[in-house]
Amino acid sequence: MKFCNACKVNIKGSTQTCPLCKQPTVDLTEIKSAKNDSSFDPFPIVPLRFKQYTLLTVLTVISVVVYGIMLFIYLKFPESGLLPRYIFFALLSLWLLVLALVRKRRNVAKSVLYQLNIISLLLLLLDKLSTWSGWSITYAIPLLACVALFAIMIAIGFIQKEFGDYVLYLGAVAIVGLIPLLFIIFGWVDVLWPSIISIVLSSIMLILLVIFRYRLIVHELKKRLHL
Amino acid sequence: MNSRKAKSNYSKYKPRRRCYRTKTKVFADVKQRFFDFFSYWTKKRFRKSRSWIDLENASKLFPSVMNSTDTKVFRFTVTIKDNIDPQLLQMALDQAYKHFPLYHSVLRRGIFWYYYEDSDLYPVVKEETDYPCRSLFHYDKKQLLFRVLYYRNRIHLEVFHALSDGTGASWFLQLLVSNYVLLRYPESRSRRIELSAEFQDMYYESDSQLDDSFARYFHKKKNKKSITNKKTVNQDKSKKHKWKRVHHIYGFRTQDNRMQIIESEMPVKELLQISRQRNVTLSVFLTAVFIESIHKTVKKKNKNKGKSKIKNKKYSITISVPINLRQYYPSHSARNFFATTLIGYTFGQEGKTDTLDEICACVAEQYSAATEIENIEHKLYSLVKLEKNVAIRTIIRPIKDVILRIAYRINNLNITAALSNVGKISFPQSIEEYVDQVYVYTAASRPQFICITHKDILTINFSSPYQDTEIQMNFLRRLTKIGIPITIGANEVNPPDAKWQEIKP
Repeated sequence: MKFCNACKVNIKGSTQTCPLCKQPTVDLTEIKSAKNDSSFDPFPIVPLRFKQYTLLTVLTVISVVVYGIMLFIYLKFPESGLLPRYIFFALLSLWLLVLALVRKRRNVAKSVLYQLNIISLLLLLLDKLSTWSGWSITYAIPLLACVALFAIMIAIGFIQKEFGDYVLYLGAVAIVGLIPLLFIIFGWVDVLWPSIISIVLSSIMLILLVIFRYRLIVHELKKRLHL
Repeated sequence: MNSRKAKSNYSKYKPRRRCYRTKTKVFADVKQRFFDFFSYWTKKRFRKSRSWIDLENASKLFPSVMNSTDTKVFRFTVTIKDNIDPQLLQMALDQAYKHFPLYHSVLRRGIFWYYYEDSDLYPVVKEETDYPCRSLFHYDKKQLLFRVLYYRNRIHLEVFHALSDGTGASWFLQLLVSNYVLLRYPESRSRRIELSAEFQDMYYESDSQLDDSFARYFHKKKNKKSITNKKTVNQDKSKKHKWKRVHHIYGFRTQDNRMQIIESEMPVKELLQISRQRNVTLSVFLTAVFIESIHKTVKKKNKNKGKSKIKNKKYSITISVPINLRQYYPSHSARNFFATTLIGYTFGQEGKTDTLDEICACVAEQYSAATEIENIEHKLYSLVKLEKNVAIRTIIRPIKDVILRIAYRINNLNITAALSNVGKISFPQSIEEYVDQVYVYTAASRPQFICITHKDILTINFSSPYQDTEIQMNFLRRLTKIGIPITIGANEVNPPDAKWQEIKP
């Protein structure tokens, strides 16, 4: 036990300065030794944390440096054409994918859904940036949806936890897999088989979900959508 | 020859059989693994639909506005006679946990609101190695909203404010500590334990514990349960204080954003005597002293800066004080059931000398007005009405979070500091012998204190995100000046560097 002459308070523990006024403390001869706790510090001493470079700073530095260099090259040699656009696209996808992965890393099913959506949109953008030839909606997006459907099923299998937590994400991925139906209806695609595969697989999944897990889905929807 | 023939026969026969067997085994194994892997489709245990409940009015704010500094976690600390036995504490916790279904829940995010979901998690006691009141809620983690820690002879119960308020958490604490003492000190079991009124069986019913008292008492229209069925008179207008330039406390933040905790203990009898001499309650007296000590700090700072102009200007110091609603509306809910009010004093008014007596009188008047049931009810009806507003309900959660955060910031512009008086806590008689002190404190975004009384000892526990301790010093010096013996304890907010520690163990 210590004592601060300025504040006139007893201080627990072995601190050399008064926590209130920061002046040196004096030892208090312990007359009442009944309390055994007063000589110990009431709190453990917690060391400071290391200052770490966060992912965010690393990403920012990389993006700024890369974009700066590319801009410099483009300004020096303007004949290189579409270069800055592609670099912008690459950095954008880096940011989106990494941030989504990091933020959703604790829920694999959610992560798959986010990755599917982000990659699909990015591919669409890439197709648009280069001369539009429709390869993204013909092949990339439908096949990606199929892959995502299998990925999410396997991911849930690995987790082996309650299905209720993931069933809505499975449903959402299946619904995204139905989007190629629009491509066919509006006649945006010439090669039909990737879209058809996606639609068939997704509708099978949706039908299975509705038949076998109707109650669970309704329960989860009520829970998450309650007003 | 014979034996060789037999051997060759055997050797011819055996491999084939083995080959056949392994093939089926491998196939069966793969099949089994495949079915196991996709058993979330077939097995019933994966189909569990968990029960869930909505957050009540007061706690809807907490998950939205929490951050790494102001984690909205509060902590009860109980000191026991001897060092804590972690195994027995775990047993005590397991016992107490069974009786509090509310504490089984985890907080999750929906599209429109957060909600509590039931869980199968089990709490584990841990030794305290980190700084107090660390965050207890992560948006993508299923974790319990409380934790139990121990350090030497201290048991800590940390609770996320969205789960429960001080009163609700104190019930859990009482049960936990009683269980622990009964296990640790067998001699305490010899006497029959006289349960206090708080421990009647009613409290253990899960329904009353999970009750949303806000919804029950403050439903949209004034119902029969309302204590005051009078028409709401505009009595608020006269009582509503117009604050002049509310003072805000700023300072250097602590390292790692850890809370600066200063706990102090003092005999309550002497303090009560002093406050009775002034004809005020203890809460009023402490509030007045708090306001005065903040004022002193401001004066000193202004002096140092040489701002003599500001000296003449009016400015207010306001303190946010929670009011436990259980004293007005019978409720056994362990969830949040409180309202807050603002108590303040404007310095530099004409004809006033800003002495403690004047502050006391002003604060006492505001306390009596704030604790009038009509005023509280009026405020809560409007809050519940706001929550039930269709336009607000249909905003999706991320946007709602932003709106709530902004509203909270705007509301905070009116607040200088906060305090809370939890009141008295007691344990059954045979357990009381082994319990020394009880402390409560909370993570705070501005200097704040909570006081609690146990066995004639009042503990006032300050928490602050800033390094500066001048307000606390002024407060405690004021009390020692009156002649109250005080013992304090503090955590180290400027510890030696982690690197340095590793080099020099």
